[in-house]
Amino acid sequence: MSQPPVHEPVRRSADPWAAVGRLSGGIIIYGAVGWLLDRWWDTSFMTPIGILFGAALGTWTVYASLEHQ
Amino acid sequence: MSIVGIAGIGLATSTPQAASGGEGFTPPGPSTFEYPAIAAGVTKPMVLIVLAAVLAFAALYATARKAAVVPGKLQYAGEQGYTFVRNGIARDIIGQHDFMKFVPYLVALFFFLLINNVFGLVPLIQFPSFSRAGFAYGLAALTWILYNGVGIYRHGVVGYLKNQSVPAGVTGPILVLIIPLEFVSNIVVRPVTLALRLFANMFAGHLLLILFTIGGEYLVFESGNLAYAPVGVLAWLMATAVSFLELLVQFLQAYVFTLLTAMYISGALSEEH
Repeated sequence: MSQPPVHEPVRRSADPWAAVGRLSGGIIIYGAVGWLLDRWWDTSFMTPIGILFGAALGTWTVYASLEHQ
Repeated sequence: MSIVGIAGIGLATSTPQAASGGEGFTPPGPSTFEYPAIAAGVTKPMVLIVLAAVLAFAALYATARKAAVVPGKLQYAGEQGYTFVRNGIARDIIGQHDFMKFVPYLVALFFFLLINNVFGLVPLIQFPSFSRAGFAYGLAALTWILYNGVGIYRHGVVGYLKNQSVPAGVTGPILVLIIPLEFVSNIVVRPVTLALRLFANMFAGHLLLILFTIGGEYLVFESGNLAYAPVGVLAWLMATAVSFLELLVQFLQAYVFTLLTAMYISGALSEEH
């Protein structure tokens, strides 16, 4: 565990497209959750709330993982 | 109702205009990319994708067949290309320990993509195969199967899912919300963006080239207005400039696709997360 790996990749693999994936991932998954809640509760405002929440969460994840590096 | 009415009027007024022009200019569109079958349902893009595979194999085989200690020009060129992918992409991204296993796939992928993309500018062929989205999705599916398979092989199903769903630097109860997001991002969105990036670049570049080329041809020869001719020549100059830009894009997209494949493999292999 504490023993350092002998051969590290020269460039640490930071996928520059991870930000796009996280943003759209958040929008897709929480937009879908909002849409399902809308169908369940017979409302129409949960889908936009879900989309915005997902976008915010995706942005936060990008920030948190960059902070970590 | 009123919106439908306005749309209807717009349609009604625009249709006679287009018709009155006689042989008016028809701009290229998505239908330009749909080829009729040559024989037995086989279309030009299908032939090109097979041709590219054969050419990629033949080129790499020819450069490696008579491997000499003092390389000839052909062998040198082939080795340069191979080394570029082997060291510049595979080793730098995946790391000394694991990279050799993936070099054959990455080298084949890069040259297959490069040849297919360059087809967009080769006279008489002039069609980048990956401007048909289906091919791009197929290739992205290969990469998707590879990096998921490699990850599951290395970490087991649970270990791999944890690796891909828990982002570094996130702890605490918020993980409940982040894990589904990260899973969708890494397993679902990734292959789609990988395919779309390749497809959209090839599609847009080919469309732009057609537009400037046949647009210039229309303005110079068919518009019947001499004043339009210089603009047509300008369009041809633009087509030439865009061709050079496309050469760069074709190389770049082959490189980016291969690079991201290596990054996904590296991410699936990595221990810490």
